[in-house]
Amino acid sequence: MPSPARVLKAKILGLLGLAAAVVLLGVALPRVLPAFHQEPLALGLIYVVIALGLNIVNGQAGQFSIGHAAFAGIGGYTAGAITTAFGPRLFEWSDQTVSLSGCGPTLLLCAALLTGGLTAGLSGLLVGMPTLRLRGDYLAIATLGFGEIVRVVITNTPALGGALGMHGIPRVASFPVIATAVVLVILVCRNIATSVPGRCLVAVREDEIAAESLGISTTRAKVSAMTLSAGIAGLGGGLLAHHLGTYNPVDCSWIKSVEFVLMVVLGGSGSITGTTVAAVFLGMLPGEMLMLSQFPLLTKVTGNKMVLYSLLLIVLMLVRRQGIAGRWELSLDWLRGLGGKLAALLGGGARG
Amino acid sequence: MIFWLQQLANGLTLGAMFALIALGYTMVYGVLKLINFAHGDVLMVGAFVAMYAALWADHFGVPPYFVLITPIAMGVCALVGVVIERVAYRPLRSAPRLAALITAIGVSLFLESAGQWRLGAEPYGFPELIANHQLAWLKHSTGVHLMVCDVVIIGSTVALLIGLQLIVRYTRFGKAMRAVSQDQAAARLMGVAVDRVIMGTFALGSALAAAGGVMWGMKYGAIDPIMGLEPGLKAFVAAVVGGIGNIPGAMAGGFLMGIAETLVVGINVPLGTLWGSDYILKGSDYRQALGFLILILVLLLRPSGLFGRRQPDKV
Amino acid sequence: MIARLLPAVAVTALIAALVASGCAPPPRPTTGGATAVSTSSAPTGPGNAGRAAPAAKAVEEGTYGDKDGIPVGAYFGLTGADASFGQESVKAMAMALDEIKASGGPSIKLIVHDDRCTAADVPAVLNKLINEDKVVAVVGEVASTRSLQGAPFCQLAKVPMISPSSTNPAVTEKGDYIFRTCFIDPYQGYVMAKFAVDRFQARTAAILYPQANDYSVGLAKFFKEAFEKAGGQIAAEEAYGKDQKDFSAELDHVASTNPDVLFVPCYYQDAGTIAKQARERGLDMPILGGDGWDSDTVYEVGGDATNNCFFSNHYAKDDKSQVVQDFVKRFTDRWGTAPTAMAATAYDAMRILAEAMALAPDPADRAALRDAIAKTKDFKGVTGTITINAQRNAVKDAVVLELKEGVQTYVTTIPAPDKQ
Repeated sequence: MPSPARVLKAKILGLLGLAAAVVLLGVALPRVLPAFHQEPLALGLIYVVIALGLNIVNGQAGQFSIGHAAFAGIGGYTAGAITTAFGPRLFEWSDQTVSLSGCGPTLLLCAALLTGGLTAGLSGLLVGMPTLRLRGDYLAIATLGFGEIVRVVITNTPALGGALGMHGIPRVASFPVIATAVVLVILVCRNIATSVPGRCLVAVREDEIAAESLGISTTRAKVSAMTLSAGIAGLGGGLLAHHLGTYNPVDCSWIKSVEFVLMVVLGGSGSITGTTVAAVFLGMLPGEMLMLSQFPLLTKVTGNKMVLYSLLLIVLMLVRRQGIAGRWELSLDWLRGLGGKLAALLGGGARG
Repeated sequence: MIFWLQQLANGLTLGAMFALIALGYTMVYGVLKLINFAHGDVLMVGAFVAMYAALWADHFGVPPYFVLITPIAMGVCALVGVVIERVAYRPLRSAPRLAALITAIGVSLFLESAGQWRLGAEPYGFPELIANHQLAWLKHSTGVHLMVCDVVIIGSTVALLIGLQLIVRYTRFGKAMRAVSQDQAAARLMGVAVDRVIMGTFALGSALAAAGGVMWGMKYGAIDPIMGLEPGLKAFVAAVVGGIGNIPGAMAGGFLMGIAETLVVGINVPLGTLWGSDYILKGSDYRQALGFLILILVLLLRPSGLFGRRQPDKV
Repeated sequence: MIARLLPAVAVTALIAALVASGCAPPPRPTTGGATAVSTSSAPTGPGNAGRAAPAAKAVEEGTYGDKDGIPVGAYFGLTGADASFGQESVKAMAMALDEIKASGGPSIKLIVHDDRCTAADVPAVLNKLINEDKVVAVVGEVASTRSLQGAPFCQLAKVPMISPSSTNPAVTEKGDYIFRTCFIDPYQGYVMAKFAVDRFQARTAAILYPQANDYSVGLAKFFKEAFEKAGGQIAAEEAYGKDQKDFSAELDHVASTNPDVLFVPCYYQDAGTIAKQARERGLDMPILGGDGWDSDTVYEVGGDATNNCFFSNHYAKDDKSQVVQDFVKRFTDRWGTAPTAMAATAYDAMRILAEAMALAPDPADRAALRDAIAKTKDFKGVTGTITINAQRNAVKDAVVLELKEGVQTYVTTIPAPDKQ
């Protein structure tokens, strides 16, 4: 057992590291990046949050949800409703507001995002409780159905904007906000993965019956995973709403969910690193591909992204089911190992 | 009274098409324990094949009769089903079920997006395959509105269903199919060519879906690359309602879904006369979500469906 | 042995079928009669290349006009659900560019991007146009849903945006940089209500509209208001869902209320199907629609059921005036089909923008350009005389067209009221 002093030192270093990551991602990067690339990057980072949420259920728990766009939608609509209800009254926000000016507005945004996440988590609980008793295929269909129900209900509710979607949400989720959220979510996911409940999830994924016989309440583990996962997706949805200023019910459908499934599958089901990289990549891809419009032939091929995504899904399943990263995670040990190998290479080179 | 008869007539027509599609889902699930997401899109392929076949036939001066075009569409789609199985599902036979599910979703999305890409997302007019008109005598005698194509749809569906039952009950292939559904490993030990049976099942199910697609085009006059999505999902719910893996269950489930959907919307009229037309919940708005509501209810209350048996998980 | 060959044979057959379907089979059919396959000479939509013999050329994303000109952006849906609108608009704008250059107007580089008829893709497209291409103004979109998505972006970036044909009133309310060169739905609803009352002495009307389309929801509401104000009564109001194909229940209900007219403010994809199913049920009353009906797909799908159908529009192809006839001829010569209203409005929008660019002291200055656009007065366009009012909407007349065997025939003009 390391000494309390060492533990404290590690914790402080960890916190500093996190703060550094937030500053790097949220402040330094946007300043350096050209204007055009910022929008796709912001979108990619927001998708990281949603994809990481999905990763808990699809990757770590081994279930199959294609309804996460709906959970994100619930979070987005809830958060948007709060800011559009209170923002103008308290802080004179309008749909042209783009920056958080002070403590009050920041608190409002946090409250909105948290409420969105909680609402989404609650709906995850509601969906998961009855359906997670059943076989995996049924969860997929149930989540698909849930997504469609959400979409239809929102489309038919004029108070939420109907088919138009919710508009006029203050676009206050700028890079610092997004970066903070991403870093926090990665931290939470990592902590879960290395904790006891996290390992229970992995046990459930590997062999449900064996896990049950070891005393793990599989239904409870799965439902908790679903709740947390939906909550994180809801947080991502809130970020999305406050970044684009709008939320459309079409973005709650299962086809959008499949995009997130692709991110998790491509990156590596269960791997936080893999999912993060895949989410950033796929989130930035459509925006960046517009740059290719100088090459008309390329745009013809890459123009329809769903064709590519669906083919990618099929090919991945046939050729590399575990995704690019598989279960591998970026970790300090791996970095240290890499450093050691590099040192050996250089040292050996110097000698010989 | 007329009102309820009319709803029944509408519901039967719709239900017939759902039944045809549901059969494909249930048969494939029976032998492979896989939900073939792409099934609804086979319906779309069938409709488009029928359209082009009718165009070519007309080009060569052959009148595009229903009885000529439908078998062509069914044949082509049987082939399509076999190809999908061979390319996307067979390599994953030994893989975890989740992988096959993801692939199924991928195939479905691919068919839809490729269709939209090549054919455009806009509807195409479906050619007339029969001389369609309202059955005037029916309208005069009972007040029920029914078209010739509705009768053709119900009639051919019944014929196809009977044909399927004959195949499943009285042929060797049908017996093999039932054997594989029950226990694949044992069937293989008994000398059943499991791969061929699965291929045949896909072919049969896809042919039925194609027939459903042709009828859909006939009834609504317009087809487009994403037409398969909604009926596909509703037919899947129908299959689950009837008990997935159970063939008579799928037939019953299909008709039930059709009638349920028609009723939910049709109920507007009597409710409207009772409450006034401004009441909040309008059935037609929620007709899309109805299928899923039914599904979730069934999964909650009776997951094995109406005719299915509880399948315990064996270790 | 056969089993092994079968997949290979199947795949080959499939590929052959795909190729065959791509290479010049007969033209798309129209309904009507057991063996009827008539030539529809104006197929819509982008996937037509290589299909029908007189295929309409499709436009794609890219740069039009002068490569060194002042950059102007355009975002339309060139592929996807209602691609017909976007295609027509861009074709007309490309034509307008050449004419502007020839007549000595400002040198314009038009950068066109495809948003695939998806509102979610609009921010990315605008991001490219505004931040990467640094355009001075943006033209777009046609569908109100997508204009509403894009307007806040343009307003925030202080880039003038001109929508050629979005009719939902909320679009220009997004900010003072957002304009439109067409009429708005409150007026369009009033037009059809007035037409129903004047022409058919209609006392009762039924409305059938898609819930998932803002344009339709708005137009249905405004028609209802105007019709009731004129003393009429709405007998039935039915909403239908996205991708719905079966309107039996809704039409049965409408039939039971026996209205004088049926108002269906949908897009062209559904119009034909609805007309067909309505006529099958014996609903022979006039069916009215809005400018979303403007496409040959309506007749292609609906056939003879679309007779006795009327819809409001921005202009009439068979308008006898010289300006319109010239425009129709030039467009048909260049693109192979007669221009729809979307083409006409986009054509005018492009020319209005060009004139504003010529009038502004510095066309590259977005604020000055905005002011110049706002000052547009009595512009002689193909779709009538256009003045931009204080709400940044266009004050102009609407026409009503009738479908006679698929040919859009001019019926009457409803002049713009003084206030909008």
